[in-house]
Amino acid sequence: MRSLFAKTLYQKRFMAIGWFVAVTAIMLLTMSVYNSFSNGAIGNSLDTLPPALQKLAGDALSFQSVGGYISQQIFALRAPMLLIIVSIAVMVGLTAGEEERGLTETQLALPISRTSLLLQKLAVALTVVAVAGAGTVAGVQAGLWGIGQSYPITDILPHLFNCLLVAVGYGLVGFAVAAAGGRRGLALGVSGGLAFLGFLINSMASSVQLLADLDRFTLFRYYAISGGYNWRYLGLLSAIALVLVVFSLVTFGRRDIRSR
Amino acid sequence: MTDQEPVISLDGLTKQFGSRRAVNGVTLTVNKGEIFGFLGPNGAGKSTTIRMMLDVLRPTAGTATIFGVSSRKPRVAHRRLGYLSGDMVMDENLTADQYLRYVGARYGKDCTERRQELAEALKADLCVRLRDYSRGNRQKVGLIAALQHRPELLILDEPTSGFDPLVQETFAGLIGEFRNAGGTVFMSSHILSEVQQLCDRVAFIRDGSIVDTADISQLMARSAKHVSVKVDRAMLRPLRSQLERLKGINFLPEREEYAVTFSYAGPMPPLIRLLANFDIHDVSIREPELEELFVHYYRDGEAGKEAS
Repeated sequence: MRSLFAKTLYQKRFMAIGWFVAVTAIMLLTMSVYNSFSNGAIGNSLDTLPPALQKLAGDALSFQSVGGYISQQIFALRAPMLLIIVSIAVMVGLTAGEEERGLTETQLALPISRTSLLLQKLAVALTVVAVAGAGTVAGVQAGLWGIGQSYPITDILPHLFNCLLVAVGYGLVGFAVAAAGGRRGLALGVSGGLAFLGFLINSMASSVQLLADLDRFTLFRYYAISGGYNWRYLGLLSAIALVLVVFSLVTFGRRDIRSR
Repeated sequence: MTDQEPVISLDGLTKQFGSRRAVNGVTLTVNKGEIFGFLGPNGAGKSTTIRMMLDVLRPTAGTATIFGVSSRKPRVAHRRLGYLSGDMVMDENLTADQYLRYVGARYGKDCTERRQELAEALKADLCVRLRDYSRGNRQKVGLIAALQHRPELLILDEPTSGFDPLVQETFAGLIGEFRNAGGTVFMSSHILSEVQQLCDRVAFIRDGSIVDTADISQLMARSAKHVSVKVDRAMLRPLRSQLERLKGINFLPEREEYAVTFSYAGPMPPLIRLLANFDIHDVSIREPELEELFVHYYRDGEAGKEAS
């Protein structure tokens, strides 16, 4: 454990493994009921829901194919929600969480710059989110094997990358608020609130014009759950992430560190 | 003892929190080889000053340099120092050994041998997780972390607050050893006997401002001594009236029968000559304790410097 990155990753190993197992299990369970959806019975009942709620529940017609089912049941809701939770929790925990406990002060008494400290913590957070994200692929693949279906992993990866960037984006909102103020509650509230609102707005944007206008400000607007790599979306989300990282470094470098 | 090479230089260091000025233009220099005590009651600005020296807090005005390097460059400035505070937070889910190895690696040195020496001196078991330690044992680990890389400067903020008397003695020994090896110490404390025992020079801080800075020996020399003189009952009144003529005398409540007790801040020869004229049964002259000076500086919100 020669670096802050190695030490912090070692400390977060159970968190990473725990989330990998949890995400894998949830995706495996979701995939295991595919046959109930593909026979059309549940799809018919979803047809009776209003359009906005149908968007929330997923496109019933898509359930007929395994690819459509993965898009709607894995990547439309479960994967982004789980990965957003992991992302916000780890990014805020490593920054404002450690600062409120007084650990950041101890860390900064060592010969380390604030920039290096923040970037190493970010690297740990991204690793934990990536490991949890890998649980999505592991769970889907295990589920497919269990129900005797197959689906190319190369068709899953574009959704996963896009999903990870959305999750990291909301996590970085928390990271930026934490870096700017060192307050865990505020960082969790702002990032979690924006993610929840963003999801609601994006889900109902097709029914309400006002929400359609607001939708462009949510990260979910740039999340494609069908087709291959959407480079425009991936580029835009990466740019937003970069801006949030730069904002975090600048604000963290200028302010007082909170003491316990 | 010191070769006047500045290790810490604070120049007009000021910190404002909203409308409250926590530290107000602190200027001081700590030279190589000195053990410098930073004294003040709770809330006087000791920890805030130290946090600015460590770049944890950013000064509103003024500068802090360590080994000639701005405190704003911690990567360089912190390489030659060790830090310990009384309420230090460490990675609780690591063992002491894991934590200390990590801290040692940050300085790019192999600290194994020194770490073992310190652990033996402090009787610290390094295999235990930090969360399972008592406060005092966590403090021991913090002290090992501060010393294991053989720093040239120690910055200590209320360092012994969790130590029992035996460990405090070991601590004093380690600090003495550190000083003998040419190290410099900046130590905030309100355990005044410890400061009196260890420090060469002290600064008193009150309401964020330095009230006085002085060598411990000078401070003691210029401060009033406690004198108690036992005489026959009949001589009490004449002795007292003679003593009243001396400058720098302040009578204290009688603690014993047939004794005159007073504090005396004047030169000794006139007092000795005066006492020689009486049939003295017993006399005791005691050096002042740092506690008395401390109370003198902070009592009733008055600096009281003029009285010394």
